[in-house]
Amino acid sequence: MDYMYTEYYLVVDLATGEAEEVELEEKFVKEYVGGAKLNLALYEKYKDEDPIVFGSGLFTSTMVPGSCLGVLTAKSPVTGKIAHAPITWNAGAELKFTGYSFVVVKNKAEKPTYLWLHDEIADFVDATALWGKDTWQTTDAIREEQGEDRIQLLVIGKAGENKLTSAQVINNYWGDGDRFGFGAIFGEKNLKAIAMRGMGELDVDDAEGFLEKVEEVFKDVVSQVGSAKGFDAAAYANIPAAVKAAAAKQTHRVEADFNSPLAYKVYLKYREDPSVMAMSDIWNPGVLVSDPIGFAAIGNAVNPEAAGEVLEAVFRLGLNPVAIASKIKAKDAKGAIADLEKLAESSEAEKFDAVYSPISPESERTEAAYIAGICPVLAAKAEALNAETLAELASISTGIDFDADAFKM
Amino acid sequence: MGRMDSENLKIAIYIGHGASYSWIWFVKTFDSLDFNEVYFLDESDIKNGELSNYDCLVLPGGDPFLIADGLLEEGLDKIRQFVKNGGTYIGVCAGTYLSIIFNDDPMPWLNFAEVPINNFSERPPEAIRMKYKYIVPYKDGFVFHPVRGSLEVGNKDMSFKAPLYGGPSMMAPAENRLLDYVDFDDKTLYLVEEDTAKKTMVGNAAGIRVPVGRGCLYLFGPHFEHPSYPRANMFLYDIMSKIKPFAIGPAKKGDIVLLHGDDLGEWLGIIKRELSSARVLSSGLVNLRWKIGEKIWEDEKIIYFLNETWKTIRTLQRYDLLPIEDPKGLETNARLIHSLLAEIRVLSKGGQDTSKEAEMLIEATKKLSKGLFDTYFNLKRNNWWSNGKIS
Repeated sequence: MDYMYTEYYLVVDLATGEAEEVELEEKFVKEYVGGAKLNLALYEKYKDEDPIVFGSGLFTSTMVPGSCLGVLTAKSPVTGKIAHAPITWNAGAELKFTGYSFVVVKNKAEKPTYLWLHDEIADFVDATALWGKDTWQTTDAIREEQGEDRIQLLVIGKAGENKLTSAQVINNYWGDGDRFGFGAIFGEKNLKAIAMRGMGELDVDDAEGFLEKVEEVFKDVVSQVGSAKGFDAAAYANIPAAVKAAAAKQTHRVEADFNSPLAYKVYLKYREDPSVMAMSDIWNPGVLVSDPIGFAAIGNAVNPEAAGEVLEAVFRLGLNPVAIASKIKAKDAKGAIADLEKLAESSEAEKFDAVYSPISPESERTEAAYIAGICPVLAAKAEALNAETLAELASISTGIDFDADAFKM
Repeated sequence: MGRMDSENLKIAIYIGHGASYSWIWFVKTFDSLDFNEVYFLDESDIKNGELSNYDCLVLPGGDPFLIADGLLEEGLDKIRQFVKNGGTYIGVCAGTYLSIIFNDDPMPWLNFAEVPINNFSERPPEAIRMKYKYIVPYKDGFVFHPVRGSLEVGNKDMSFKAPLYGGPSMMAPAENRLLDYVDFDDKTLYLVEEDTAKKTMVGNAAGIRVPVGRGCLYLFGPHFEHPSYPRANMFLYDIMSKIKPFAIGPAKKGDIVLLHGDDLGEWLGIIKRELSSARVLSSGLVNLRWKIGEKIWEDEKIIYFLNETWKTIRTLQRYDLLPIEDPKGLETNARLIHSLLAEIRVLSKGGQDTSKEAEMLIEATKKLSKGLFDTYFNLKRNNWWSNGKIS
């Protein structure tokens, strides 16, 4: 594919330790566009080899507002059906920068392994020493081993290693959109993490026309999103008032996803004064509430002021907060964390009812966002990110004629 | 072109001891201007008498003290003979300082001609920023750099922008002048007060031509070869078109290995893997700076070097057969670059000095990029391939 995507996608066989570059053909993109839709086509192509697909959307890593999204696609151990988990923040963009717009991970590694993708290179790295470490330790260890603090990771903790359906794939240190037990698939595959760092570049067919249209869309998006930020921008999560009030005292800053004007993620500090803006010697002094719905679930289960610290433990263990919140017995942080450590090793955690995406693709706009590589939270708020506009941007940037229907599953 | 066309002009670029990364700019610009006979020499090549096989020698930016240390009197004299016998010398920044006398008690460098400079003083004006790279001690005084970045140069026929990164403000006679410093622009970075900078630079020569024996010198302060300044590049092209042929023998050739098929794939895979890891590591360095000789190197220069080398690899991987000099040596260099960067990262995190490792890194990176550029120009020269396939 000449424009907006890399030339190849990657097919990784964990059983053999081989990685194959496959040409990403224009006709394939024309038919499936990208994101969840193209992931699904790749899943079908390799379905006999137990694949999990991590893919980017057509606009992921570009200047289109909210172009952060990566999508994980596999058969959910929770539902038994194919599911698409949205991965926000920077991982989707980094995947494309590695030189592979999509990676299909097949079969199972003989021993714990992490996949290290960097500048069109796929390395299988022994992760035996990382097995048993939590997601934060693993992220730090891999970044240290490969020498870059900006390496983006999809990583599992103990819950994933124990193949629990309540396990979640964690995005660096933070929980994200996996409500489908994909962490268990990583565990089943002996795949501790996918680590990514690249400095690739993308070509655009009509670069000036694309930039002009993006500027127009960006202005519209900013005006439609308004000035709400933090938990006010994540009203969909229904965070209890008492939890919000407690979090307000711990709030250090708000953050947005890659190239997004919507700062709906809130960083809470509870290991140092949240008003201190300078970097301290404390590495990770709190938690990023990257999953407001998960935070609401935890906030309902424990004392409001303990919610942040407990959410951290959920992320470290690689658990799905919505799946396990009701099983936490203790209300205080210490007791709740002890409960979580047991849940990460227990089949009890596998029994849960609530299965929904933190960013449910209910509307046409969020559906289109999953295909385009746009943050669904932003798309849900910004009418400008509709299928018609995305199709126009897609046509300008690729030279292929797309219509709005292309952005429907 | 005048006497020679771009395809045949044999250009030697000095990339040996003391040369900074800016020689890559020459490579990119010469490539885009369709010069095919581009070769790379180090101090040993020059001492071994290789110069007579080229029409011109380019001495790029860097550290003239280190360059002279590497060439020794033996190499410096070979360059003097080359020019006296009819070769052309193109000096930029360090290459210019190396070739002129601007002090009563000059360093034992090339010293082709007396060209006073206005940015030398026993008591240089006070720096207002970038003090770490503002002055270089020279004998009883200091060479100082009043501005950096873009400025305007010109003569009665033309004017254009070019970047200056430490080059001299030359007080040359009118008959030698090609271009003067005309003015600064909104991208000029002042290291001294603006008035002082103007008094030091404007009206003095930015480029001169000095006949020496049967050859001549073209000496520049600004980097007319910088790929982001196309008008300056065209000025350089015009200068190159005036160069008289001189080469008397074939350019230096090493033992070429032809790699193809699985062997080529494996070799490219190793180089790419090491280079990619090096790029990842280099992008993770935070504001590192090394003083090597009298030159300040920032980590971003290493990143630039590696990125340009990466682009060359991506070009080369389109071919299914590559002529490579010492592929094993290049592999070793690629591994060394990776391991040195890993070492620098660890040491610098612990607050330790990494100048020694950085010096080795720069040399290894030079060798690798030289090897890949050699292969690239070999392909281009011989036109063995069309459309990336063996014709």
